[in-house]
Amino acid sequence: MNHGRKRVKPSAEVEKLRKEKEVTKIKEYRNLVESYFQKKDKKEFDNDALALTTKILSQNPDFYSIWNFRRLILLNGLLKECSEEDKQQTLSTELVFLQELFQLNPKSYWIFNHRRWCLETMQNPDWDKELQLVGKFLELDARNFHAWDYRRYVTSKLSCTTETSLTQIEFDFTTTKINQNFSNYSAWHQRSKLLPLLIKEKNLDEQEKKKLIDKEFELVKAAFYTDPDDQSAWLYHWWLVAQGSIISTSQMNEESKESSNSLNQNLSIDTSERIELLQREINVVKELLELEPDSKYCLQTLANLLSELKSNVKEDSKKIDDEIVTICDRLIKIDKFRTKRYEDLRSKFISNQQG
Amino acid sequence: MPQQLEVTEYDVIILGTGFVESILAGALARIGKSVLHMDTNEYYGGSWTSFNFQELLDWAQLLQGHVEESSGNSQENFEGKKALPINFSKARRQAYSTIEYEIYGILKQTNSTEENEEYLHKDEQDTSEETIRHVSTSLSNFERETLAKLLKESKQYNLDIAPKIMPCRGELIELLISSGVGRYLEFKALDKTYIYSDQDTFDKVPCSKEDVFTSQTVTLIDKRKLMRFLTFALDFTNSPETFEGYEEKPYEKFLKEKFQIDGKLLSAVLYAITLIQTKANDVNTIQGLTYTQRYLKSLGRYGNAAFLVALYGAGSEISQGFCRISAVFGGIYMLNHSIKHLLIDKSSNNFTGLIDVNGQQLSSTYLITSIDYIPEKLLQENEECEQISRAIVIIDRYIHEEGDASLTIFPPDSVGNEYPIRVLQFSEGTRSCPEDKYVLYMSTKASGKSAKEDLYKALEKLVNISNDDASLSSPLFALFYRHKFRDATLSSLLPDNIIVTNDSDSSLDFETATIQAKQLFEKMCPNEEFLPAVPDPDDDDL
Repeated sequence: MNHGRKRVKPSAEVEKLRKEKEVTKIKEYRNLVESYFQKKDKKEFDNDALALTTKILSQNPDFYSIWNFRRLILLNGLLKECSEEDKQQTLSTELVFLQELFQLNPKSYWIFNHRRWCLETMQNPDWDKELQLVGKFLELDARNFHAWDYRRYVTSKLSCTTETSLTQIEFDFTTTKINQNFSNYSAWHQRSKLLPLLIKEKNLDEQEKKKLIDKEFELVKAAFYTDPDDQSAWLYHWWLVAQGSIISTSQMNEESKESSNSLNQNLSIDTSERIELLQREINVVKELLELEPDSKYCLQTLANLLSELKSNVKEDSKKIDDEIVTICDRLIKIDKFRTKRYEDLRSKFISNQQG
Repeated sequence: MPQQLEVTEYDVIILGTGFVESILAGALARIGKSVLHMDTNEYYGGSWTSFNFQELLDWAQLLQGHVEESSGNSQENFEGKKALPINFSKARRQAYSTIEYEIYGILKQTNSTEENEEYLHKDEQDTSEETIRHVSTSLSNFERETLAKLLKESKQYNLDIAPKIMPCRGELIELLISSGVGRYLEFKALDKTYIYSDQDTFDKVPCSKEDVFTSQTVTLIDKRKLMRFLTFALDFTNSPETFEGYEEKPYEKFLKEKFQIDGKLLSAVLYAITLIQTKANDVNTIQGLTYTQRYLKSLGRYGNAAFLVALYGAGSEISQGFCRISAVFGGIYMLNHSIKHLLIDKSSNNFTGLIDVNGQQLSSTYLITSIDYIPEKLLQENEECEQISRAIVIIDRYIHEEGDASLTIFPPDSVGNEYPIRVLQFSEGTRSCPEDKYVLYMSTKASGKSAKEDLYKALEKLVNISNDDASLSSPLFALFYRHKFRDATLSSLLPDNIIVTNDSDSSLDFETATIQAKQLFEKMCPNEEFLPAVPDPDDDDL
């Protein structure tokens, strides 16, 4: 009787067994790959070949040549001259196989690639099901950029076939993900893709547009106040600030639209609005800086905003230069890995001071 | 159950199947000690148990009733030893005071009275009629209907008389996992905490980064302050420079001066996250940071909740779980079994055994017991016992938001209360009541004349008592009572081989009780393993 104690094997023995197992596994794998080369060269696209690719891919889904071979096998075998039903069946089986592999490796380009191929080869792909599936992937890992990219692919197919727009739904989906955990580059990126579309689709007037964008600023502000060290929120903020000028481009008349793509506006109306926006955001960041004087993203953002402000106003040039130089000095002290970058930035504004 | 035990000598006899006693029963049997575990009640859990609705009413009425004096309060002799009489009922009754209950008529009724009477089966009708008559002749018709309905669904209630929740990281949960008792239990998460603010509203308390980010009531600056503080507190021992000089100073002072946390935010940190039971000044910085850190470390282990709630009544279920371990390893169990006398050796002054209700003499090396079984003569008079005011309220709709379980805090002075009031809301999800009802468990350190006085104003803020606010949920039944926290300081007159377990205290969790069980075990069996894992029968390693 063991009195409840588990038998523990001596570790040297365990190590030896493990190594032996590994050597066998490597040998087996090498044999499989050898068989693959043989079959490929002989162009044998039979069931054995298919089973072979299944074995290899189950262990190594990133070996993309095997996927290529598998597609050739399918096209020359099961999918050649068969009924639509059989085709659907075969490809559905492929999808199930892919789902199993996904558990092993949720970030493989080739798994998603093969999935797309299957769906595009099918006559009746179920895009709704795919959307549900990618939703589950994102529940498992909200930061999996492969899944986000696949989601964009699926929603574009879905909105094509149903002829409806999914923009609002997808926008709301990013809101949900960001609320759960805003440290998510992909979710913010997705949002940045959808926001301009949303504005266009809903045909918002100037006031509604401004309201929507201001709401975005509020959201990202809450994020960087909650965690000033989270870069993803700051990136979205930088994008929003840049957007402010691009979106107001629609106010410009036709000639100016052709000539100007840059952030600098020459029309006085837009400039004053632009300055207002920059000043507002400068104040927001400065307030946070008071609470977190060593926040590097705060400082970088402030430097960006000031630099842009400078190119929009005529007066206070020297004052702004001084401010930016002070910021660079601080950044050099805080962020030692990027000293050279800040020195470089600093030098631009120092030379301006002297010139 | 046999009237006479075959074996009369044991290593340990344990009286009372409360929480601490049960853990010890399990731990001692597990290391091979012979254990006899008895309880005068016919149920497990002692003063930590849970009752269905009928049982709760019976219990309340029992405690309100006349205190029987034991037939012989004087010391007797038995075979050359001192025989000290035990009066369990009296001791237990004396632990409780200011017991009163109210039944409320539901105005928003959908069933008519006739339907209600049809609803009840004949014998249930008889019992309820009897109970209704017994309860009060002065009930209005509406109130009689409420009572009848509650009695009809009595078995769907599991009402804790000493309700407690469990932090997701802490002594008890680790013990449940390591000992395997966790396998006998089911849990729900408690993931919402609210705090009453002086603007007569309840704010949701943000504790995780997600909560802080999405909160609509916390200002941006407060979000930053709170996050900065929470990040520090999670790992505070690694930044001693931050709290240097503040260790013994009040936690409140540290929060205000070092993190500029004040006002509502300060209240939330002190009473909803650190869960201070008394007043802010009573907790120093090290203590405060320790509790705060434990709360934060609990988050994320089982989702966004700091606490778990055991189904069917934590006190009762967990006690039973440990008794089961004890029984598996040979512990003998006798419920509904009274003890008449404790036997003390005259020369050594040690406990040698006891005499049970059947006159059988049982002996052991050690006696572990809850205070209710200690003869009056051996207890020290202590008027200064800490007291806890409680209320159990059955309501017809959730407060704040729908969910399995939530916690609401009233900070000191928010409703004329000296100490913080904590309100747990449980539901059908925790198997505390039927699907269409919710249960509120209110508690606070006693300060006024009665439990009702201590808690009523807070209750009025939560539910529609005076019938003028139909948007709030309505109460159907409320029981108020106060109980003492008696601990081992009362027992200095006791022989060394009698080990006394504390009553349930005012804390929201089982941590201090679990620690006591461990300490008592260590004292009795130094260097022995405390509840090592029981091998899983599905293990194929053996």
